[in-house]
Amino acid sequence: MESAGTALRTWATEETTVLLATFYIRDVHCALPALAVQEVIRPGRNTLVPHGPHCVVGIINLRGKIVTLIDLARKLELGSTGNTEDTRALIVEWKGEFVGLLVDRVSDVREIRPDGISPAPANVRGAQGRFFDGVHEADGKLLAVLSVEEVLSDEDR
Amino acid sequence: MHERDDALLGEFLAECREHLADIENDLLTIEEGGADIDEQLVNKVFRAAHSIKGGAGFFNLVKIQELGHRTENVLDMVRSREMIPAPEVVNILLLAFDRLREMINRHQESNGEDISEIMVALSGLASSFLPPEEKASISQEVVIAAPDLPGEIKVSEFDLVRARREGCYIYLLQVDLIHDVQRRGKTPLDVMKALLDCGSILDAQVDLASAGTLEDEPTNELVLRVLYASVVDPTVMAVLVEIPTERIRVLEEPASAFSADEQDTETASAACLVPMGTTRASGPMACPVPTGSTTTTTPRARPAPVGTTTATASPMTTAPPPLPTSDASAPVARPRASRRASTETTAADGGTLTGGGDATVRVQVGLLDTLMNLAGELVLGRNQLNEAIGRGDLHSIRAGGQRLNLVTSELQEAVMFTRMQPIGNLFGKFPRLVRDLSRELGKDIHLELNGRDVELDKTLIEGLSDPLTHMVRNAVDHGVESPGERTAQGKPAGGTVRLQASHQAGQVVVEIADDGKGIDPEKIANAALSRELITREQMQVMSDADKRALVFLPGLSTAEKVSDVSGRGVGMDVVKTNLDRLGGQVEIDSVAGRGTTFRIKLPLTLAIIPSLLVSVGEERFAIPQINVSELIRITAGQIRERIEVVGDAEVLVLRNTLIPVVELSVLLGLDSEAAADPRRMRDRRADQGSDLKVVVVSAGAFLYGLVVEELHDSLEIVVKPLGRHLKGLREYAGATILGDGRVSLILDAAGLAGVAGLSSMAGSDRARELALEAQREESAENHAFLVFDNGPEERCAVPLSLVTRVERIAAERIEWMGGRRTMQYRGASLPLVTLADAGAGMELGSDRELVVIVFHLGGNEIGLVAAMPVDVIETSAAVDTVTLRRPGISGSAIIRDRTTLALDVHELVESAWPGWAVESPGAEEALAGGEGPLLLLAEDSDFFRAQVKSYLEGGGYRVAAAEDGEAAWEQLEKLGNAVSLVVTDIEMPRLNGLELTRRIRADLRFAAIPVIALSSLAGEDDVSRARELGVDVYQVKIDREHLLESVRSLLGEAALAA
Repeated sequence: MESAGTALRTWATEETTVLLATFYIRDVHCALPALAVQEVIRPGRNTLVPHGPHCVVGIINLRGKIVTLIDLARKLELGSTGNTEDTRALIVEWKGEFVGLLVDRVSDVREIRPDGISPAPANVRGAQGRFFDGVHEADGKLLAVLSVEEVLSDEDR
Repeated sequence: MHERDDALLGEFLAECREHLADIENDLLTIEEGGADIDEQLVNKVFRAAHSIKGGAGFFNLVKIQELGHRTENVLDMVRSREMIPAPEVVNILLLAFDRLREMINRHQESNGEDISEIMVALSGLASSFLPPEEKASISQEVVIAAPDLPGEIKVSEFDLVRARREGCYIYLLQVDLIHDVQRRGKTPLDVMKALLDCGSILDAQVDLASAGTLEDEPTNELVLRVLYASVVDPTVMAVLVEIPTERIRVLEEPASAFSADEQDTETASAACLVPMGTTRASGPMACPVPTGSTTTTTPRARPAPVGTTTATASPMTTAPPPLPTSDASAPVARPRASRRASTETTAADGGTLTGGGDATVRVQVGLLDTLMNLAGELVLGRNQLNEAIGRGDLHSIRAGGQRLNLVTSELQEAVMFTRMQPIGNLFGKFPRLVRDLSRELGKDIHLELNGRDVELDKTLIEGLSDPLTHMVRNAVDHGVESPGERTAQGKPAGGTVRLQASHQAGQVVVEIADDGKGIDPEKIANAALSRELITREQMQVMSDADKRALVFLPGLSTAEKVSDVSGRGVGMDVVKTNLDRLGGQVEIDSVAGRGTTFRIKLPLTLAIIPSLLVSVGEERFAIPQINVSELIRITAGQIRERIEVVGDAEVLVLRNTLIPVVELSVLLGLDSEAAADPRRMRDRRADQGSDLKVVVVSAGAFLYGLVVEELHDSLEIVVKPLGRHLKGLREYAGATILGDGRVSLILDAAGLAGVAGLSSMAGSDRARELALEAQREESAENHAFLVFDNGPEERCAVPLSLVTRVERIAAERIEWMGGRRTMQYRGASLPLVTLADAGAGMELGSDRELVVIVFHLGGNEIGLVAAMPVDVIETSAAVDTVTLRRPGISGSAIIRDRTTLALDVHELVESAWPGWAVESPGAEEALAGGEGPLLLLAEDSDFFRAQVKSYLEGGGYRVAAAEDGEAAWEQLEKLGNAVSLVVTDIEMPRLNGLELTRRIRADLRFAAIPVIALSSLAGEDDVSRARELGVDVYQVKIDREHLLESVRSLLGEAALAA
């Protein structure tokens, strides 16, 4: 990742700031550009897709559309998202279709400047580093900003 | 391209495609007509070229305009009968339209296209038909300039000459696209069309300069300048085009308005017509430009300055040219070479014929209105429902729901209709294809198209394009023979290929038939054999239809010579795959020497399909009904009997074939327990816990069984695609949303088979192997019985082979004669017995429907009276020869869940009427012979061993019985030469009958002992194989008389030999 937050800049509302929707994958605080997120739903009963990719937990009906549910924890190899009261799916429109990203719980929406994003530290830059657009530090805590493109990529690398 | 044009451009392109859609066929019809032209048709094609040219000028698509123009010229000559539409002419026109189509599909790049070749061909064509003095006009341009006009308009002299000859006014129209067109709610195309209706557009240009630049004061006008030729009078003109009169300028009045000698004088034109180019000095007529000239696009020399010339020169003096009489073949040579290449391009993009970038569908306004109405109804229904829900009025809610239901169905139907297109759109490309192809191959083939108006879903039409093209090519290339071959066989030299579409039982059937040589099943089978696609054993059991179906195997091509047309060894398998994908099925009918018919059956639409819903655990799956062949429930008790394990695979005995069976839960890994233990099916066979529900699914060429947990309803589902993360999964054809809002996956029968390792060939391979095995097993175990009732709860069976006839009789036909029952039967008296007579069963009730089962015993016929129902059952059930054994009953068996008495007819008759059977010759001999010869009987089935043994003993022989070949051999070694004859079954465990015979023949001690083989299987092959091994007589069991006869004659021979 030559420069942190590059992908993010495309989501900046003006020149200066970008809205981030933040959430937890297991206990990691992560974020996606809020504009990429169409809505947040409580996933109902999903339909299993046997033989599907590991990260796909199933498909659901979202107002007549078939939406693929992806467990971000599995995608990022952080284990599996539990099924609790707080479990939510972020609906993201991507390449003309809707995808649901399963997270353990949603947090807040923050407005930050793209230059407030720094390259991901080495410990998250390993094998899964490509999923991160960078990290944002606030109040001494790290917020991992995910790359929509990479998280939703259907290519197995 | 300016943005303002985008929508218009789209409209123009769509219109062009529409124009071009039928052109090939129109041209071919014109060609057929020859000199006797159908003016309307020619006009239609002419106008197509004309409007393409006109529109292209407007959008600054220069090359399209030029080519359209040149094409139009040629067509004009055809129209005015100056040119005969010979095949060569039509060839060039076809090529020209091909190029136009290509350029229109890639209009952005069209201006960079090199179209010189086709341009040369066209102008060559035109000039070859022109009188010499006009030839030059083809490549001459005339500049029209007016003092107050910015820029200039160029026009081909040829056009001008033509327009003049037709007595046209030449106008310069300045149409303001903003005020005259847009503000009036019209489009420039409307204007174009209006103009084309009454004359011809010689040139059209948008005056971009007049629009000004951004910095300028907005002039608020955008002028389209049209050079227009029409016979319409200037006074009428203003009304026609709806533009102010000051924008209509008459450049030239018709020549006829002047006397001939006045034509040289200046016309009332305000503009000057200047012949352009290098020939000006000597006059256009003096210097005809050679048609093959290097510059085919007119040299753009600097135009003469405005107003410097006033000479209108000679072009106006042309007298009407004489009709050309020159032969049509003149222009052939050049374009011929390029034809082939172009044919190939057409073929290559044949698949995109209906695609071609047009994502629009034309819908009839009436249909749109219906849709709109239904949408209105839908809203109304929703409101009613909402209101009813608000009031909590259950009755109204139900009514509302019903209404919505109704509207939804209607809406669904109407929307489907918008997707329906006539298959004629697809058929349309074949006349050209067949014509070109048959010429290339030197064949004479007539194409017949039927059912062009049969409508199919758009996606299906698109998907059908490739397979159909391939099959038509095949029919032309491989199907129909060369004229020589045909006449040699006494067929007409010209072949016929017939394409036919029709509706049949909710499906669309498309047939591709030819009257060619047909598909030789042997040839196909041998080809498959030599490519090791099938084994020799498989080939032997295949029917002709099976063999012909082999053409769908990958890697099989029977074309002796690989041509570039077809026969590249790819194709039919791809055809099959494509059709499978469309949910279509294909059958082949063929008669050697008479022709071949491929029959494709397709669903009407793909978007909504009837499906069967099944479930495994919590998950429900939909299986498209088209793939469901039948549903089978196997009761717990039958599982062992119906499900066999062969090697690693479970197979289902389905009538006489075996089909592979997979458990859906195991296949999809939904059942972790089962996944861990692949042998569960076997356990299930053993413990027989519950019923098995099997969906027999057809996946292209073969069937397999899918074991599911529950079968649900059959319902219509809307197919929705899966997201891209799941696109790679072959198992599913998509997903659908069920009534409860949950999503269910749609299973893809073929894909699932692939995942289960039952690829179509492997599957059929295995299935055939298993079928063979099943046949063998059947021959050993399965026997046909005639089953009937005696008493109400008493079911009996006799071996079917003993039965001569079965007849229904009325009870009063039975007569008592001398203490015996008889009846009149075929002119004689038939003795009758009942089970009760023999003390073997109950009395028949008199109220039952009776039948007489006629047996042939000891040279006489005897009838057994029994009751309906009568049935024939094949079973391998074991006969219990102990429990219910009594005279006349050899034992009992469980057949179809009922205890059934197996009758021994001989014993039965013997005990009913002692002595009757004694009259038979077998019995006589038995008495005469006293202690009879010793026979060795090998038979593994208890029932038959007992039966045959009793026959033989009844014939007066002593019998040593063995339960298999090995046991028989042991006995033979013990008994040695005391055995005078061996009777053996063929299929037996341990050592089969053939092996036993081989051993006997190989051993000097026994080599001379005659051997009779018994089997229910008596194919030619089996008999000859048995003979080779030394079997003396091969008999189909169980025919008592024949058996005894054979024994007698063999023993007699043996005695003679000794």
